[in-house]
Amino acid sequence: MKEALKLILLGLALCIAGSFVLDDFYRSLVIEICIFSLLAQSVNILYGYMGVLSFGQSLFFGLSSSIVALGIHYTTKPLLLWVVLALFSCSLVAVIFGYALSRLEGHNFVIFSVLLSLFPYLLSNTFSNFTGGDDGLSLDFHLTDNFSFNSILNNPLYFYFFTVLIVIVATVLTWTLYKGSFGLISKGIRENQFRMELLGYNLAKHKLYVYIISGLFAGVSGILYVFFSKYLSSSFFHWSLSGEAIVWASFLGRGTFWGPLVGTAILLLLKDELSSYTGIYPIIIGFLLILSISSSKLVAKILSVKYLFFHIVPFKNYMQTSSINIDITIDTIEPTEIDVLASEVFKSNNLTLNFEHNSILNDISVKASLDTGLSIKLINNDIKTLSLMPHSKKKMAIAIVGENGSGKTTFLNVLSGIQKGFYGEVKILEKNISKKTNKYQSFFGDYYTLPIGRTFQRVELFQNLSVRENVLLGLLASQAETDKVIFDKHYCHLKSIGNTFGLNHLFYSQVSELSYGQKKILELALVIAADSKLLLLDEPFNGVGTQEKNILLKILQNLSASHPMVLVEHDRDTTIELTDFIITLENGVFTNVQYSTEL
Amino acid sequence: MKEALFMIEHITSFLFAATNGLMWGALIALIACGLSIVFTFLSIINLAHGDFYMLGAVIAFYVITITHSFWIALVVAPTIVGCLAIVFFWFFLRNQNGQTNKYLLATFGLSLILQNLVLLIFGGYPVKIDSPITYTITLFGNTYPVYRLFVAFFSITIFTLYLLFIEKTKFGLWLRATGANFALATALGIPTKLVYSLAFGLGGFFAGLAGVLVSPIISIEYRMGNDVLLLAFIVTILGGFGNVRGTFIASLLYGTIEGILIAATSPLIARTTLIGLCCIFILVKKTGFSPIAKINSRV
Repeated sequence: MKEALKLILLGLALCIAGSFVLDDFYRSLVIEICIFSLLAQSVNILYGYMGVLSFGQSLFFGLSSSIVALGIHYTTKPLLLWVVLALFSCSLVAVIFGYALSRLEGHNFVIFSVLLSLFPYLLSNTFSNFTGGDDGLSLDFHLTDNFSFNSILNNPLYFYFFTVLIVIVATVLTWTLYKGSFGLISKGIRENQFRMELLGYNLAKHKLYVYIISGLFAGVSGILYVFFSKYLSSSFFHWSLSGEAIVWASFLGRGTFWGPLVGTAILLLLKDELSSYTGIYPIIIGFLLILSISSSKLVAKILSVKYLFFHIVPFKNYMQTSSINIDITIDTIEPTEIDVLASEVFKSNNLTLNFEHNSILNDISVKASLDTGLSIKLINNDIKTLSLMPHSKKKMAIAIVGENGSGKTTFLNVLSGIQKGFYGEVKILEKNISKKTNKYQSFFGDYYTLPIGRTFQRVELFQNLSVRENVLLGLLASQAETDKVIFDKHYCHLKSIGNTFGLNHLFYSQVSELSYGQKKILELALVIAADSKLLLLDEPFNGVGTQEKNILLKILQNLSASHPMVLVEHDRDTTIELTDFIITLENGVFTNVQYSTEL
Repeated sequence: MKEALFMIEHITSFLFAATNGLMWGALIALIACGLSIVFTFLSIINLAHGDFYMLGAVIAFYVITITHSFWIALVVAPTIVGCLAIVFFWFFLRNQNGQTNKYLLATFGLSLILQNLVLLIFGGYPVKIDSPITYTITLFGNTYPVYRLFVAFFSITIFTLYLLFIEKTKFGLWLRATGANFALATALGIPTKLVYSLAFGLGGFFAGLAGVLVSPIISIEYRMGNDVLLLAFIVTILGGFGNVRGTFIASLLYGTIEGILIAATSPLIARTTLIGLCCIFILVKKTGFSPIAKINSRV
């Protein structure tokens, strides 16, 4: 909050200083930069932070500017009414986009956004008598209000303060929002949606919020632009404006806070310089775009604006430690009472799954309960029940072994709710897993997640985030329902997770810098941080070196005291050491089950 | 009697509009085919595709001014466009391992550059070139230029050749293999990056070809690609992304419906209505008319 205030004051000081220094021409340039930087910020929220590319921002810009402009031009109703109406309709359109985003992906969404923004463009051209169409409509602002809008809009100096103030507030708002959990969740969606779904975030909801904020920003910038230029054109709707905004927002590097502001300023100044040469400015924009894509961060490096600002703003407190030769100490988790929601861990009844004509899982019935133990229907229809090991009270670690392609991973996928389209009944922690719908992305209707922690053969992590941010995303997921978590509260949790998994010395390194074994450990830490009750581990030791294997084994042994786990593993020794029961799966059928001590 | 005559007149004008739309649809199919190649095998959404089309028409104009032959332009202009596409791909997109968003932005940049270069060099005034086939025939009571029939026929021929090329030749096999698994294809010794560049070039070639074909019908202008790009997008979505035959059918269908709507109302209203409908269609049925199962390679 303090930092936000500081920023606002800084902005105000600059604004007042500017009003003295600048003459009318440069003042209007500053106004234009401010207005368009808001549009660029709206793109940045979507594309920079959340990784959703859309050419639909011009729709918000055009919509709000049309409503306000036409409202003033044709009626005598107060201006405020039209502004409110414009912002309201922007949020409505944002809901449409949010809904589309929960259904469409990648390229489909991009094209949808182009088409949707083209519809009002064409509509506006169709009714060009009314809207002015492509040629535009000049407006004059002699409002009948008794309110003092008249003086603000028609006095350049007042309007300068008015615009700059709005833009400063909006920018600071983004900053405060995006340095907290909201921004982190956005980044998580950008890096790995699949993992976010598994962690139990309601992505559709978050995307909708982001879209509404972004839409409002674009809408406000549209309204301000109408005030500024006193002109309306159907080209405000055209998606090439969105394209330009994407360049403003991203050519200094995606997802940085200052990027859009500085980028817009640089490019608009350039545009102004080149305004006497037709066609040169778009060509430069095009080149910048291609350059910034094909040699990533080249432009940013040349200008190094991003790095400059990163050091001025106290964005992160870097705790740089050299990570060589640090003794990794691992806290042991005290074996507490098993904190599972239900005594029945999982159960499947006649589970069958076919891909095309291949049967992957064939009539699998298994029940694992913390009271009665493990009972399985074997291939010859015998039902074999193994009670829990007497020495390990209420500990349930099951290994599934078998050849490649015998359906082990698929079985785990069914249990974790990823694999749909099976027949039969599957229950996890006494809750049914639905066969058809993917509940994770529900936009309407109910939303639930099960406290299952799933790890993969090829790890699913947030590649370009730091280890700390990865674990934080897990911690946030455990309280995603309340969604009112204060960031710093997690600090002690973070420490304890770090100690448990021996990750403390790595907290500030990027995931992409970690070794494979460390990634495997991190994935486990992420899942535990998300407060998972049941662990489904797909080959946790696959590709892990000897030293890290020992660490991982120790961690897993600690965890197994408090978490029931199912793992698929090829490594014989570790499997026997870690688990109580070993189930053999062959061609989609269970053929054998035994205590690991028997081996 | 009078009513019957009126009906006949109505029906013939309806048929005429539909046929004209069908011709137009065949041309859209050719353009969309180029877009579809690039998307299906390279997962690139080429926002500069419309400008390749525009470039084809512009280059054709210059070639015709020099050589006075449409038929030379029909060969030369698309080839130049195709080469340009290859060069662009080779220098800027070759190493961008399948990141859809980056491709989108890079091709958007290319689109800006091409449009404004043409504006600088060629100028902003619409230009028209003479039709190489001046015969007309009578179709449903109206005179109809044979050239348009030729365009439709030519488009469909090229489309068929393309299908044969993809499904029967070695290069087609390489292309499909590379599209299915880039890493494996590279490991097998397929020159994947070259194959990709050529495929991108082929997409550009098709767009350029359509541009040359269309230049005697509509006037050449630096923004003429924008509309066409959208049409190509719409039909590829309706046909189901990556489904070439579906795209073809969708193009013909779209062309016919738009033709009828234009005859009934005005071009602008027809376009607006259809785009509105398409938005709804995409939302409701996201895979298009004929979905192809995409294998979830993730898990």
